Amino acid sequence: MKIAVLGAGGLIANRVVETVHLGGRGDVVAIVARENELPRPSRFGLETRIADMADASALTSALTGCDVALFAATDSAAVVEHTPSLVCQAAAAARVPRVIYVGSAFVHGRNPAPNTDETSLLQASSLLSADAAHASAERRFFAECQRLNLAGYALRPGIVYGPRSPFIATVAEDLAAGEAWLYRRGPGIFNGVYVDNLVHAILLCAEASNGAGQAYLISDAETVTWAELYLTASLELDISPRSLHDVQELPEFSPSWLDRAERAVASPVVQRALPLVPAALKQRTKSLLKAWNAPLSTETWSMPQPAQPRITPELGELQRAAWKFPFGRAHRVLGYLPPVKFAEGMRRSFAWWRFTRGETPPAY
Amino acid sequence: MHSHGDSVLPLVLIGCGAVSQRSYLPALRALQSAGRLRVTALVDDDERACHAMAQIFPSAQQTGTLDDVVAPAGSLAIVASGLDTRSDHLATALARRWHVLAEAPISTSTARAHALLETAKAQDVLFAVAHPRRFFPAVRYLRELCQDQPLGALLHIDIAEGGPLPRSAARPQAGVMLESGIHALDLLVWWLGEPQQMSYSDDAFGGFEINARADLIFGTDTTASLHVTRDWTSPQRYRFEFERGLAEWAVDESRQLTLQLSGTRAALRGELLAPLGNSAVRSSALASRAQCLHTQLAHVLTAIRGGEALEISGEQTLAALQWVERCYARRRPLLQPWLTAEEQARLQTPLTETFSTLP
Repeated sequence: MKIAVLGAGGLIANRVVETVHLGGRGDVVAIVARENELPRPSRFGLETRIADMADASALTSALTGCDVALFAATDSAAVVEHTPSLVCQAAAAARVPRVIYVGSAFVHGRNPAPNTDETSLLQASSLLSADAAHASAERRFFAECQRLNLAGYALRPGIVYGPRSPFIATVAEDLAAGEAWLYRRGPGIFNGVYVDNLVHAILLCAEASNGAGQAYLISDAETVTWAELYLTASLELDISPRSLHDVQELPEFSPSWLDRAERAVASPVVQRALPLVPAALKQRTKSLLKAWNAPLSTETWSMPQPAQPRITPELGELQRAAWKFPFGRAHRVLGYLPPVKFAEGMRRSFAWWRFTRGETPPAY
Repeated sequence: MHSHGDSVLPLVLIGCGAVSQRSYLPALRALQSAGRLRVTALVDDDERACHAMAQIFPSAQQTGTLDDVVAPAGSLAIVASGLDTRSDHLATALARRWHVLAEAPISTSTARAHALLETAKAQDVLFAVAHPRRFFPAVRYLRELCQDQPLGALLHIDIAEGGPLPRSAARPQAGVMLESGIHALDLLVWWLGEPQQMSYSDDAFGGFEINARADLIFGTDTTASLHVTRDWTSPQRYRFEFERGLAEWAVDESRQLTLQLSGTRAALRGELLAPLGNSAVRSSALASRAQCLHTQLAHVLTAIRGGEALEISGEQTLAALQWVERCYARRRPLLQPWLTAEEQARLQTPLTETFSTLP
């Protein structure tokens, strides 16, 4: 098997590269959009190619000679929505018969209704813009696979955690800053999946003899609450769990102007006009939006305040979840069973995090 | 030494990419305005980079190859090209009898670096190496703390530096230890002299490392831990543990330091000022990063005129390159307990790390 891994510097793709290469499970072609993303795959001296997903010719060339193409859409809503078509068309042109798309379980919402599974209807109107973009992207993915006669597999993981995961970094930093919190002491379900479990599902899709044309929810084996997640994290970091804020009521959130801007950019009219905008201007605008932070209101006469919980609309919804995404279909069709337990996943995740903070890893 | 007399010094800028645009451009502009140099040629095979610099120096020759450059012997060449071509550019510049100010490392091997330095001697031209951090007031102040010991003996230095490459960065030409760690090693040797013992590990597996760790012992009492990375944003700080206090320097802050005296209830973060003297005169802030870059270049110009000895010669910076080579020669696979046991075995991780005593 020769697998083309797009965005090979990212959390999931990097782990696929490590797993396939170190596990001797096939050949990997690591594809990145820019040279600055080369360092992670370049550790292994394997084949690397550079192709922006928006450049059809470069992408086709990069995929040539591969049996499977894997991509995870993790950029802005506009990019997420349009990536599947571009990748599928390039895969067809390069005669790559199988495409795996890593989307998101949150196409069902961050606080999914009880009994939600892959057969549940997707209600885009009730979703956050990023999640709605994933829902739209997945529809496009399957439509393109059908049109181009490709074997398409879509995976729907929840929060992907593990080494090099921004989620783990945020948990660690929030705990260290005294800004971590639990909604009503944290009985909500943490819909996460350890990155190795997701990679296991990806490789099952790469090797499966059936099951194409369907989406699969992918999650850990255990049902874990947010309280258990933060308690485990605080033990790993040697921070007292008593520093966790107890939030009884979530604030009202109205869509931010950034959210509204993302939805506007994702609209078909704007997407048709975008090629006319110079690339440099688009890049500058993206950088500005990314860098923008609401100015803090400061009262010079006020006393220093204790750290406050850092509540975001996304985390608010996630912590209210009362339903664990099931992986029954992935188990029945692909034979998926998560190989890494939650406790082991957390141990590995925080071993990595402590290393990034300068701690010497203990010897085995 | 070959000198260009008292006229304005011609300057050839080799490599017009991010380093030149961020670090050299303001200093070059200021020194050209002051009549101390004239940028006569811009060399880069990336036309866009060359063109960007030409906006500031419109009369300079623009070319993709060094062979086309017209500049007399005794000119100064700033060699800020990528590591894959840097030593070749240096060799060409020296053959043309130009003085050089080179980005570090000047080569990927000490043997080649030695040869370049010998060529500079034979050609009677000056060979300077860019280490702007050594001009930072904070770095000089830390050297005084290490050597004069006002906070007691230095016990340990903990260094965590680096992060993902910026979007505009070019393809890495070497591992993080050679491209970034060498700058930290240069400072360690400048502050403490050469280490007696070291251990080294990194995560390269047939390619370039993105995480590297070195543990060093200086003298009998001082240890240092160095972690450089291209993988994840590091804390970007140097922490010094002295007998009677702590000091912390944030990477690339030229005049900011944090100090905590033992037994006190708070740390103090502040800006380095000129020494307090006459109480009627307010102390001014010491040099900013941009001012240090200007100082470094101005100092090289003065040295070319024979006005002062070169502060950072090529020979002085060889030690750091030799230490990188020693690190690679003693390399062990980095312990990565976030990988599976099978993957660790594949990486041939040893059970324990041991210190090796150096010859």
